[in-house]
Amino acid sequence: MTRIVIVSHSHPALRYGGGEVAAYRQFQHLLAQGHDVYFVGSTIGPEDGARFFGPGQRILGFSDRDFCMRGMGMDSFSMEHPRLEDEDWTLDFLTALRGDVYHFHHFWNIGAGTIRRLRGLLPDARMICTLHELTAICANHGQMVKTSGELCHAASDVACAACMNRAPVDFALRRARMSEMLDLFDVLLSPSRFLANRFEAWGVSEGRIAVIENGLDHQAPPALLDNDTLVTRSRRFAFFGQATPTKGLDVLVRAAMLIDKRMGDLSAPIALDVYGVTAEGFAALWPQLKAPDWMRFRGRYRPQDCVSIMQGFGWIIIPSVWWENSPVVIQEARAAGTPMIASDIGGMAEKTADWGIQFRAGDPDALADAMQRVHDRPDILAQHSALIKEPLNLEGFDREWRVACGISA
Amino acid sequence: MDLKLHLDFCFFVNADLVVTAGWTPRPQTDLVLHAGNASIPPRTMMRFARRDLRTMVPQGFIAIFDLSQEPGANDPSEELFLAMGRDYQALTRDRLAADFAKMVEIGVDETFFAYVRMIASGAVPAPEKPVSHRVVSRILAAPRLDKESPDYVLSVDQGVVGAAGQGVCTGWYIPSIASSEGLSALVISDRQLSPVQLMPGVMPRPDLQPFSDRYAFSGRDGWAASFRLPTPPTTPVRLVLMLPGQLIHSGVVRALDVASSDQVARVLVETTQAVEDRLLAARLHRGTLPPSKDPLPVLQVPPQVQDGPVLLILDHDLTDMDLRDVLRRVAAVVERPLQLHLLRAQLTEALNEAVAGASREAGSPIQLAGCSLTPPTPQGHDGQAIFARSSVLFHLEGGIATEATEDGPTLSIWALDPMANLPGGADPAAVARRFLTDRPPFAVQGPARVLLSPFAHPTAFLTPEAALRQTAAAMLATRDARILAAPAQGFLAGNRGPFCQNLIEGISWHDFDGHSARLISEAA
Repeated sequence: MTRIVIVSHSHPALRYGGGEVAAYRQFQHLLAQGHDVYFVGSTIGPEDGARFFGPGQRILGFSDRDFCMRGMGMDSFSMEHPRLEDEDWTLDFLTALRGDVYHFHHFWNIGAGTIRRLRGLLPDARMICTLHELTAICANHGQMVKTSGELCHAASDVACAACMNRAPVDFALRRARMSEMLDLFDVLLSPSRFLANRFEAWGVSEGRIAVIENGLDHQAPPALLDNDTLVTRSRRFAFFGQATPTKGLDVLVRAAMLIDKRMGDLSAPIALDVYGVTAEGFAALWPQLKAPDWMRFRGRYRPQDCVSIMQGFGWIIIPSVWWENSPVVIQEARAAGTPMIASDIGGMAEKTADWGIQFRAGDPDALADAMQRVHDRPDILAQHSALIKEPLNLEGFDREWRVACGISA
Repeated sequence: MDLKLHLDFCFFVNADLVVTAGWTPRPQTDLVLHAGNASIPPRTMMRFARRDLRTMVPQGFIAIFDLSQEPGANDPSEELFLAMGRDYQALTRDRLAADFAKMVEIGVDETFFAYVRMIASGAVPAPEKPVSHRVVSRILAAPRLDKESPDYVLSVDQGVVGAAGQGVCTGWYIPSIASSEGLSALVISDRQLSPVQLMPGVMPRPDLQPFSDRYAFSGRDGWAASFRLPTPPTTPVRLVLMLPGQLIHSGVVRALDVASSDQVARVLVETTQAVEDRLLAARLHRGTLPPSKDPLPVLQVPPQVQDGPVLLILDHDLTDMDLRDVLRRVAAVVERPLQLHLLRAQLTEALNEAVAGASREAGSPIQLAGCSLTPPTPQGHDGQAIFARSSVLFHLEGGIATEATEDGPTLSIWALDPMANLPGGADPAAVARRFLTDRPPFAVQGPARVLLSPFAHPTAFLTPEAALRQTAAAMLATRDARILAAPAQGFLAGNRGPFCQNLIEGISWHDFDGHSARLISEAA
């Protein structure tokens, strides 16, 4: 039986990001299907390490197939372990698993050197990498957003040097290192066409990256809604995500403030619920913004409850001011059958193209207009809801993954 | 009145120069040295008052005659006579041989210090051992001058000397009466004397205005001085500042601070920037440099070990951890064991890890052979060597050959010359010329003995790259090296490491070395 090792830069037991969640879902699915599969995640840095690990401890075993390595901290610019002994240990651990297939979801906390050496030690292993964001291209958190806040459309050594205030040669070297590392993978995957295009523009050969959406198991699509429900939901909007600046929550609040000023124009009440952020958390980031009363911060939610919560709303808003890749929230909205209002850039534009409404990214006026256009319009809601296609489930993902990677079932 | 010529001492300081010292009441001496048929006037002469003559009238003299001025005058068989009018004194061979030591031992202070001033001015060369030891002893034993008296006020603001023997001093001097005679200076190191390039009144010092009520303040009372010792100092170096008319004292003596080469360079740059006359500023810089270009390396190198380790002398100008990628690339191309000499003052943890990391991945061993700002000396290095900046090797993808050619040039140079790729820029002679004038980054490969030859002794430069460029350029001139224009398009220079520092705003170590190289070249 083919042994598959799924490697992620984090572990969803400790941190719930899109990449690690997609990796873990893949692991769980393969395990449930009876495959010989291992999962290797990592803590992000020394702080987490001190919290979860004892002296001399390098690994947490959640089961005999599910591991979390102690991340010792890795500079995302270099993507190399600062201490060679950590690279040695990571390499030893991965090698000891004797995988036939190594599927990396990210390379942060794994290290370019680890991957080069693993490739050298296991020349016959199938090595796969899913590109979850633009880290190989962009040293500014892999988001291709300039430090000045503008969206970045293309990387270049000199432009990146100006953005990050480093020498151009640093970026030339980083590009060479990242490019060399990606070349070592037998297969590169991307959950979005947008991301694949960016990598191709950066220098990866056209056609080398296969696009497969992340898998998400879900219930059968919800039944068609009656008109009363449509009317109610068409007045209800929601945001699911974190309060990080690139998620654009401030854009949403500014849009809500604009709508609040024009409240007299609205034909019916409006509600906007924010999940994943508390009022205090928002105020800490944007103390100068005062959300209107009809905007409520609901705080944390259980990821497994997300789809059912979304089904109570008419529109899910994703106002990110960075490109995004293939946000889980879009798949979840599709699973919930709830249409979206999305920024008109990158993975958001691609993934909501047929069934969502796009607005100019970062523009509160445009978002306010978009929300007002669909507010209390059950007809538009019904029309968009009907266009939603179910997201790829894990079985479908596995099928496409095996084809793309040349791995037999 | 006795108007005769009194000759106290006469001696050779070398095969051509004869020093005579004595006294005469005659104001106009009209001294002439007769050597066979030749009559030679003094090349340099100094008159001074002597306390032993009990007069303030300058009756003492010291005169230097250069026998090389007249053909045949330096024939050892010719008898020498010192003449003043019809007054003749024979300079006998035994006196010419013995009087130097006597003058140092028993000569009156005024004569002795007049002679010392002539060393300072370069009129006569500094004596060699063992006489130099006696001269130094007498200078140091003599009474010294205070920094301030009713006749003058003097300050030494800065005085630094580097390990290679290069030094810079600055200060100011204001006499009570303006005089055409200026300061002069010497340095004493290892009981040897060396002249100093001293430039009085070259720096504006308006801040000294408060002294104007007691001294002849001019507004330009700052002096600057530079020197280079013939050999690196092994004992403390002292500056002796000799004041005009003060011939019974050694002068103001100040021990110089030992400083690193870049610190000396920084003081020099700051000083030359304060000197308005650019010619004098260049002369000041030139004073810190060796008198001539380094000699060409000995090219008779032992047979090269073709598969032995390659010595990589690396100016790592990238981030520390990036060293790993550079070494990986070089190792992949060289395919032989690498011995790395890292041109860094210290091995950081990241550098150490980078070497170890590259070694883990390389097919052949990579061993750290040394880590210092200066490359190793040639002894014990019989294989091939490569020198480059890391950014250059990264740009070249490590792609430089290491094969020693049978009959080809000894050194191979890859210059990142951006003009070489232009339609009219590929002429090899032009590439070679620009290698020296434009100073493009380069990599060089060849026998380690040759490549390391500039580092057998302290060099004139802050960066090893400048020393290697000079050697490589000299070897290009003699066709012992070949130069290749490497593609420079897209080259991005590193800006880290010790050699990318600025001495002061806008002047880097490489800039400074470029200026030094030009000055040496112009002098040659």
